[in-house]
Amino acid sequence: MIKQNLISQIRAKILQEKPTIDRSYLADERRVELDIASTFNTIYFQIFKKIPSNLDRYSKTYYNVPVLQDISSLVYYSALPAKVIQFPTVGDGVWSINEMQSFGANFIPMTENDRLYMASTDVGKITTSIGYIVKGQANGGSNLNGIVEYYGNSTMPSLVRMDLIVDFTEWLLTEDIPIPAGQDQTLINMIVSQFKFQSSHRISNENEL
Amino acid sequence: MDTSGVNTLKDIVNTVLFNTGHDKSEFMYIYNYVISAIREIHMLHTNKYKVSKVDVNMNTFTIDWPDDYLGLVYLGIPIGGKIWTLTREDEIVTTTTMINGQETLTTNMGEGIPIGRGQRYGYGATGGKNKYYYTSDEINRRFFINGVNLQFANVVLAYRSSGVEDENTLIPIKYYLSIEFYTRWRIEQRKDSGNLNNAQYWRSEYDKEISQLKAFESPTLDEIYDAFYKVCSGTYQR
Repeated sequence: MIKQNLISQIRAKILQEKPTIDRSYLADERRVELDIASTFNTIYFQIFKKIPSNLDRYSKTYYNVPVLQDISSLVYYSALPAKVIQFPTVGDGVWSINEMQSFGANFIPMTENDRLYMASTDVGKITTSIGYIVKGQANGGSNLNGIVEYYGNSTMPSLVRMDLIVDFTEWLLTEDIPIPAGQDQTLINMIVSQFKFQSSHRISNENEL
Repeated sequence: MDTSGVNTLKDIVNTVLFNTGHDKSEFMYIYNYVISAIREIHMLHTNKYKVSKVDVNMNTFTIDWPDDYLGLVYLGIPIGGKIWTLTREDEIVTTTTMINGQETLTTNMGEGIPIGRGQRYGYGATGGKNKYYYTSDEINRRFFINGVNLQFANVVLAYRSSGVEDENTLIPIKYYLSIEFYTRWRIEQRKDSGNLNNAQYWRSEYDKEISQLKAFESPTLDEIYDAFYKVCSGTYQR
């Protein structure tokens, strides 16, 4: 479903009764978008718990993400091009990373703990796979979405292709949002149910003198 | 043509991941277990070994172990197109003396003195004895060799190694199931909430597969016949 249409549909349900100032304020598009985002996180997490590989469909691909090298630490890194959903797994919402035009280098998600010890292991000495660690933004950095650090024995490519499970707010209004089958009405109902309006109170009591 | 009899180490790892359904986040752990499995198979369960020509240090009559050396199969020298193995003799003197920073042998300490061959002719002859001997100096990762007229600069060393050089090392496919079961067993052990029954199950599957691998690698009937015939020699015909 197109993102704009989804937001409009939900607003329409919220405003189905007479649109008052209160309801129009609460059903503001930007607010509805944030509510959808938090609901999507819940739905994606439920999918992740059942079969994580099913999340391939919901990833968004970003091409030509540059691989940079920090001057002081010489660590290779990429700024995440979008905000990702945080899953309780290594790699978070960074679903996969590949070279632009080949699948030569394997990019493998790992933890900081793995990085510390891996160089001493048999695999650390011979593998050409590149490990990546998803981290928050560097101190004083401008990478608001976080960064991905790379570690490995191979030559780092200059550009990579990333598949990310992005936050709902990262989709353009004109983009088609993949919604899990059977979850579209659930999604709408979950959000609309948060907007349970009470009858507006009369400001004055005409019976009072 | 049928499927290949070998596969690269990296492809073996990817196949294990594919068959076990583990996430790519476990790639490095599984890779490490696969390497351990191959090392264990080569060390303990197969008759495969590496053969290389190694240099003899003529100052000390020692042979340094290669970096990938795990265990000895044989040490030998070529004579008449065949390998004649050296005889193990642990009473060889294995000390050396540093002179001007150079390691060398001092005969007054018995270092480097050839083990006698005994008298081969005449009264009191002891008969034929071995010619060349070796012993192992594990602390310094080397062999000492000894014998009369030690003049060869190289020997042939057959030894067990891990069998893994890099990720393109070719691994026989016949090892695959052993590798997979070993990996599954070690993954279960690794889990904090690991089920001991699962670990034991995969361990027993691994043991069964190793038994089958050994049976697969048993000598053929022809090879057994040849081993018997080798100790015999043909007689003349009148």
